[in-house]
Amino acid sequence: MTMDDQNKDNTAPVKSLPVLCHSVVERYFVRGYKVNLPKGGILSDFCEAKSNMNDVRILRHSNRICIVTMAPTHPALRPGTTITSVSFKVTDKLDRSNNVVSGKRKRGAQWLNPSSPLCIVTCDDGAQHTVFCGIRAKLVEMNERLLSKPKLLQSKTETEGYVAIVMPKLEEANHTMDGLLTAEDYLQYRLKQETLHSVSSDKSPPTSDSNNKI
Amino acid sequence: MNNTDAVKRWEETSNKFCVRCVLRHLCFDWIWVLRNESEITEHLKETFPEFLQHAVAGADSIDNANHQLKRQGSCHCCLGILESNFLQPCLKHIVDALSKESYQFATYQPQYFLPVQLQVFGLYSMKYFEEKYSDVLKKHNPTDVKEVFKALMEPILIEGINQERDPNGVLEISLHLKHVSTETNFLTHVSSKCNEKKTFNRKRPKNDEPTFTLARIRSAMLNLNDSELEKLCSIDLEPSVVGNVQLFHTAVFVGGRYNKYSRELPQTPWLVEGERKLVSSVQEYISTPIQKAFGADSYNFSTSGREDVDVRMLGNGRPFLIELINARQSKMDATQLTEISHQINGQNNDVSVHSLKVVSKSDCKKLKEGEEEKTKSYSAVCCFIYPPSPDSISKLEDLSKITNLELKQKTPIRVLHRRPLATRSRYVHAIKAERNSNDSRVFKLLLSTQAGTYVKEFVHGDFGRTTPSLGDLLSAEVDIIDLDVESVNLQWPPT
Repeated sequence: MTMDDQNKDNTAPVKSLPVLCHSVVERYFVRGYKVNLPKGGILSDFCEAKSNMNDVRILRHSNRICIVTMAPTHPALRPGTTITSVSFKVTDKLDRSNNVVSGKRKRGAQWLNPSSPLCIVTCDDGAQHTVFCGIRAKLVEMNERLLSKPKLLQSKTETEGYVAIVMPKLEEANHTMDGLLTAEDYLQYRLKQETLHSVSSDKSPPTSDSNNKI
Repeated sequence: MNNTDAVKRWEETSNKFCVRCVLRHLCFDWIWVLRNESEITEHLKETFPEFLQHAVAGADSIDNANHQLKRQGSCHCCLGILESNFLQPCLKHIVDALSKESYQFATYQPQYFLPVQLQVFGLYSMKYFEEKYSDVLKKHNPTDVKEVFKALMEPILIEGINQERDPNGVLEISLHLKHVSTETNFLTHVSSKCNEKKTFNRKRPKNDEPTFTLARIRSAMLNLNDSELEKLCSIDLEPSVVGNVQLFHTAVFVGGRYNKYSRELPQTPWLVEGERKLVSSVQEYISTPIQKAFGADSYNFSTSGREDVDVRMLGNGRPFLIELINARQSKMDATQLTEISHQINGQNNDVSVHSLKVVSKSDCKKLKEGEEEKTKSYSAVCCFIYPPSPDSISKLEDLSKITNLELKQKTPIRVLHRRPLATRSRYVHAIKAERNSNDSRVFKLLLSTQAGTYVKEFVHGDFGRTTPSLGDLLSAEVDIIDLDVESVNLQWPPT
């Protein structure tokens, strides 16, 4: 399987039309997934066990900058659910809005671990979900537009509805994707979890990718 | 002072110092100081009758050679540098150095680097004359050895180098003189008197060789008492020698414009973690032949702005400037320059240059000034991700009504790893779209923008980080397929 195929998500716009050009994400980024946050885990952990589905997608640019987005499996993206608000105040003391970086090294950035919370999303059913970072990196910028347009998380999950831009340390930059599920792994994970969740509950499985709705 | 003492005094003095230094200290006069040694001796005899007596008593002949033999080695003031027979070897070294290189130059500027030990011997001789000749000296202000050396070298250089001497000359000729025997122990001893603490510069690698800077020696000399100075300087001295001659051609600037027709050629060598990504670059294709033609040691390549590796540079080309370091020549006529451009253009079909010109240093500023102010025109092939709605198509046609649209661009993700995060304001002066008749999703975008606008990001929006983006203007999702720079509107090279 080629690099290109691995990198494909099921988010191609309209399948019947010839693809004019790969999307910006496909051209410059590699996708990786961190699932079952904040605990995390690898693919084999979820063959039999259920995941909490608190999953994020990491888009890694070839220049080591990473973009954290919600993964399509995330419960807040289930069809029928609407995200009503987003808060960057993740604890009483920690507000991601206060992150300020300076210089090309992004000094003063808040430090993030895979289990660091980035924001809290509230849905119309009253459920609250914490979105975690999934990798070790400096926080460069939060997507401020989510505060006024939380629905971007659902309508443009992978582009304008990104959660945060982060930058791993230079010395760790080549290993950012090591602990992550590849696009292929993620597909398997998703199928497994669909089955597991549909067997044990009558709730509809959290499968739909919001991008397919358009 | 009786006659015998006076004669003795003169004897001692001429044992220590050359006649030119005696003249410098006792009765300085530019007219006399540039004459030859015999003439100076005559002049001294006239000025100081006792000198004549000494000379008569001390030697059968008063010629220069004898003088030298009698002295304790070289002059204890100028270390032999001001002696007439030292000057020709200096010229010879320069001429030899010039003949080894193929510099073509119309003007030159000599630079002299004299041994730092002169400072110590200068002080020593000052004190000597002030003490021994207090009766003769009215005002004691000897002209600097370097000044006199320069004046002595002047006619010799004019005769030996058949080019114009000019303080702004294109060829810098550096003559380094040294006095070998006092380079180590003597200087170390003087330098040890310096109470200045050695400061360690963490950034610079430690240099094991002690450096005796002028400042250090001068500050050390303040702590040197008379008897120490006397003891240090009362040694036999051999004459100074020429250390080396360095030749350096001042920077030569070549301006021109280039076109790039490839989407796989970076502007400058593309290095990732010290390794090359692609075999060559615009910079190398252009600079190497020019560097060779001018015989330069190295070069610096700069341009008015830059384009991405996958962007072509069409139209009248992008202005560039090459600074040639230590070129062997500074002049090229139009025919030679045309030949160089043919050579560059003949290498491949990816890069071409035109309007090559040797430009002056003052013109170089115009290139970088223009970088921010000037407008640039682009043409881009864009596409709608989904078949466009009638609304989007009418908006596409209305783009041409836009003038001076202000964009807020956050540092694009593609350069965010090496630039600070900031929101920059840039203007799109005009836009026009031409639809593709074969595919309703494809259109060609022509736009003129302020320099520094990130065009690709303007089209796809960079995750909503450039606002408004073309997608916002068209209420559709759009992307960029290909980008070309059509013109960089800067008058270059200067006429």
